[in-house]
Amino acid sequence: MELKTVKEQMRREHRQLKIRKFIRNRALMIGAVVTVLMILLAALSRGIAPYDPLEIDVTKRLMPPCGAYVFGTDTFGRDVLSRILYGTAISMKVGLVVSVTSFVIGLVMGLYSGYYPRLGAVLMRLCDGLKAIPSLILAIALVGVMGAGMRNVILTLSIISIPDIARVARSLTLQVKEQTYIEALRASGAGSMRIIWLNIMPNVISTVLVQVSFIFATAVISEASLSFLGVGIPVPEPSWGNIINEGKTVIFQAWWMVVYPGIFIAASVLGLNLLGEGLRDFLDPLTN
Amino acid sequence: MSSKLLEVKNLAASFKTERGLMKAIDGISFYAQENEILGIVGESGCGKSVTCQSVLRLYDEKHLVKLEGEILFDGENLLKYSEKEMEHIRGGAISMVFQDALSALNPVMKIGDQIVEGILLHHKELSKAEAKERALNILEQVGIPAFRERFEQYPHELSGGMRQRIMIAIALVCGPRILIADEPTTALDVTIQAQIMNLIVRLKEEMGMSVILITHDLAVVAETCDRVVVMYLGQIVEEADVKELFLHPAHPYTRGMMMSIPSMSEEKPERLYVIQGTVPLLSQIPSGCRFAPRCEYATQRCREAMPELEELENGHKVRCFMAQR
Amino acid sequence: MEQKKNQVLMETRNLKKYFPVEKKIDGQQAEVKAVNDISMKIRHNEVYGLVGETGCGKSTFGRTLLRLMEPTEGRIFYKGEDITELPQGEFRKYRQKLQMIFQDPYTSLNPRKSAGKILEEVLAVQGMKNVRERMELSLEILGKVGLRPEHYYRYPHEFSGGQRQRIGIARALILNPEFIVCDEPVSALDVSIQSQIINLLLELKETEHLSYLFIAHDISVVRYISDRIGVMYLGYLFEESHTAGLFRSPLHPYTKALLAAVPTIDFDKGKKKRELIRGELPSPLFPPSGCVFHTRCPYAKDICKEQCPDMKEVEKGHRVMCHLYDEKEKTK
Repeated sequence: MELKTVKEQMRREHRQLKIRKFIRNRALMIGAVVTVLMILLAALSRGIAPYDPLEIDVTKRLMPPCGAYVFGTDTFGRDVLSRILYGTAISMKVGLVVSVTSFVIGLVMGLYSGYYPRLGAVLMRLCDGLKAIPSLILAIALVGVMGAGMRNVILTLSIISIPDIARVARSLTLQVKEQTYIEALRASGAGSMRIIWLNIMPNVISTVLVQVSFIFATAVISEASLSFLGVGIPVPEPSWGNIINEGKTVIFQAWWMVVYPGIFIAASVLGLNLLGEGLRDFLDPLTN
Repeated sequence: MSSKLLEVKNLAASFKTERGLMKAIDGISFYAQENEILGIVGESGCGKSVTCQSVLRLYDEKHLVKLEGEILFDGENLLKYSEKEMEHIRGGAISMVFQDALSALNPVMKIGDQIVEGILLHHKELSKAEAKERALNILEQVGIPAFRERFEQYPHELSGGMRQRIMIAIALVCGPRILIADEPTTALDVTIQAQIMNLIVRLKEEMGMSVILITHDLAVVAETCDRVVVMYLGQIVEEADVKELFLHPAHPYTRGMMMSIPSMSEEKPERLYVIQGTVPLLSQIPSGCRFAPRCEYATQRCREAMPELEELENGHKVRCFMAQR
Repeated sequence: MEQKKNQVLMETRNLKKYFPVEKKIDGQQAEVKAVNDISMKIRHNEVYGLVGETGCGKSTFGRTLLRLMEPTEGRIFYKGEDITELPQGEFRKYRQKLQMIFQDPYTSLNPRKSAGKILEEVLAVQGMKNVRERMELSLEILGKVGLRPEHYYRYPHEFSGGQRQRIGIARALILNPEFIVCDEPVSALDVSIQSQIINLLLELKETEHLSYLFIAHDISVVRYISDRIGVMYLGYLFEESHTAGLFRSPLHPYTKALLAAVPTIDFDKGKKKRELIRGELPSPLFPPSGCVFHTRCPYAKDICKEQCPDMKEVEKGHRVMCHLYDEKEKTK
């Protein structure tokens, strides 16, 4: 058989296997759909929001959901749907930026602390210190010092999330490092850069990515919590958290101000968690 | 001495896996007599372990789909027993020794307590002191030096050979009539292996029990077993007395295995004999004789029809068209 | 080629490898002496078999020889050149010539790389830049170890144990080495696959002019493949001889016991009476004084408890470390 055709055939085989694996993996399917939907909503929020989320119209205060205002209006007569859509953009942005930063920094930290035990001992004690304080309280304190605002929320949540990624990456690195194929590489003269980045990293990254999807979910919730507590995204800028916060005083007259953003939070977090679970199975080469 | 203490008839077990239904063993029939060591040999995936787990019904209930046939112990079919009755059999009349003694022992329990627990499970009438007395006796019997001190130790404080002795002690403490030993010495060094095998042979003589030894090591079989069953891909391909098997192996697979291991006494051949290819997956069982694709004597008939396990003479059975002629 | 025949390829002199343990004995840092004072020569195109039980230090010796572990003391020579203290950067070019095959075919291949990529990586490490050339060489080597070109694209989990071990052999072979440490290369394989791999190793030895240090605990396999054999116990080399000599007349009491324990298929002589070794391996943290074997040796004398015997050449090419042969030392 011609080697080229073999290669093609093998590629096709692996691709088909991947597709079959993807379709059979229900958690991954649902998670991916929900997440993509959320990100699409966020990206298109400016276009599809029916009203300006900041436009105040006191005559239309606390209108229940109806044809014109699908999710009703809030205490200032602003359209809740538009505010939720803009809030989606903020939540997704916070979530994405936090996961990417903590992923990159956490992965590098984890790989190197796993490979070089002495460095690891120092870095991990640092992480332990950070994780010793309940993360929401730490976040409130940090934002309190730096001041509210999107940039500081992102910075704070990244700082809190890095240890989670770093720890997972480190423990995996420790495992992979002991495998015989790493020793075999050293026996053929490979240097530490090649071993870490071309051989350990690919074995570590899938599990770390799973962790990242959970970080994404946590970041969305944490942002909402901070905004709810009034130290996150400052009003009048809409965020899922501060919409609920504004709704809590009028919860008995206007349930829609609390329920709809709540549903968005729950759905996106559930979707992201499912995505993580699904990814874990999908990326494992041994579960074919 | 020809009473069949254990007789397995047409045993077949199928398991559910990712790749679909898999028949791990298919139509296994053999028997074990009192005061003899029956060897079951074969390579990984031949179904030798599944066979023995089935005897004690220790298989993974979740994946087992079908178990057919009969397992007659003293004339009674164990497959008809309730789970409660089986618990009484396991570790009582039939007990088992595993390859990995470290994971088979409870790491946070003292050795002595583990043995006493086993005794009390099957002999509720005994007092703790009586059970301890019995446990100490058995430790002495399996040749553990300073056994009184060992009684108070934890599994990780012992060497591999000692742990395997402890496992044997636990298996023997209720005076079983059948001992199933699943690769008992595979994880051990040769000098320790020799000690453990000598121990098993000695205990068999003393207690008159029947031992079923599962192994992949032909030399161990040749030295210790009385009768041998050779398995390949879920079937028995040959059965004979040990001497008959090694002096006149009839199945090409048996012969191939014997020729492919380097001998300790003969002149060295230029190259070792090789059985071509590898054992196929259970999901890709060839049609006809299962060994045909790897067999150098295979004919068209072998590839089309499955030979039966037939007796040649004096209990020497073989599943091969060539040998049966 | 012929004059190369007796040339010494690898040599160790008084090689020692101690591992510090997190424990203190009498106020001193405790050590496990995994390799103790081993001097050995391995010749061109020779298979040197190294046997011994778990924990005797045979694997550590093999790894120290390739400087995958740094020796505590002693020297290592490659073709007469001292390579003990070369910095790792400079040592890299020697790595081509000194390779290793590992025991476990399941953990010795990176699960995320195809067979081809695993082989090519070794070439990339040694500085071969041309991608085409790397691929061609990998395909060639796959053929040499009995695999087919289409295996190039397969991932490790798609192979059987025997095929994986062939990839492991290909990886060691691709740099054109002269010396390969084989660390239990067949002990994880089934009987029918074992002989395939052993034959392959022997064929390659001839066609590629290789020398092996063949580490194994299966004595019948070592007897078959080796030209010379060394027996290790608790970090020491107890005995060394040509294969035939070792099996005809083992000298060291430990070697005798070890050989007696090997099960055999032999019905002609009836059941042989074997002299089994008593007891178990002492803890390497607290090795016995004098000769480390005296606690289990049926012939132990007073001197054995006090003084560690020297390695002596008793017959030509047959060395032993035992007080029983103190007078028999070959007069040179």
